[in-house]
Amino acid sequence: MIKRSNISFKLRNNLAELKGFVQHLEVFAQAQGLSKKNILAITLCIEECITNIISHGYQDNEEHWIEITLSCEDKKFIVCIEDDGISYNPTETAAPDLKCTFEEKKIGGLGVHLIKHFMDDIVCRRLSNKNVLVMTKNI
Amino acid sequence: MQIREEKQNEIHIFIIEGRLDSNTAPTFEEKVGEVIATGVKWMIIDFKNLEYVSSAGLRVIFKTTTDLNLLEGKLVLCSMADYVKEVFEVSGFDSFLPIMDSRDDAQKLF
Repeated sequence: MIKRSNISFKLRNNLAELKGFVQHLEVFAQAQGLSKKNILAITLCIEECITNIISHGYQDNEEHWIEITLSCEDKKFIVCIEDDGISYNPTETAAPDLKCTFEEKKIGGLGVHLIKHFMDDIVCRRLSNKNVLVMTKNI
Repeated sequence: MQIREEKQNEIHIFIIEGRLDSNTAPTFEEKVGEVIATGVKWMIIDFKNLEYVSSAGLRVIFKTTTDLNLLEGKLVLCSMADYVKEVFEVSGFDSFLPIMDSRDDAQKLF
């Protein structure tokens, strides 16, 4: 039998909501037996993703909801993030040029680069005017 | 996040503990700015008790490096846990910032 657990959250598009969410994430991940290192990596990727959505995803000053579902099955931890912001696919973002000189360094795109490093799979789709991002980490 | 400060001759040392993320990075940026405004050019940031860093934290470190470079100063980082160091290395920060294993090693660079 495959062990599976999942939990869903709704966050407002406000960076302050991240703090409370991270606490819930850690409790859930610890209960699933994830290592500290994996919990930190997953937390980082979610923070980067949510920060990008909140900072760049909306062109109005309205309140928006971001839905996050965490699931743990067997040897995979899966994060699904849905937002109704502007169409954006992080997998199509070019990697920052890390070998350029300090003066030329572009600090943008770092968050996406970190996500691509720490997660084992990333799939992004546009469905019914929403961005649906699914990130998987082998645990 | 807690921020402690020490002074070793001309070197200003920040010891940051806890998490350096989108919530706490602005406070750290402000603190560093205040210190640089007093004329400090040599700085060490000690990560011994820091358990988590995100790109928000990296941006503050990057800005600090830029600001100190303009003053012909120097920034050295030290004592990172391996998963914190990994974030800096993946981001390429180790190509322009010395990241030392210990505070002693960091101080020797000044």
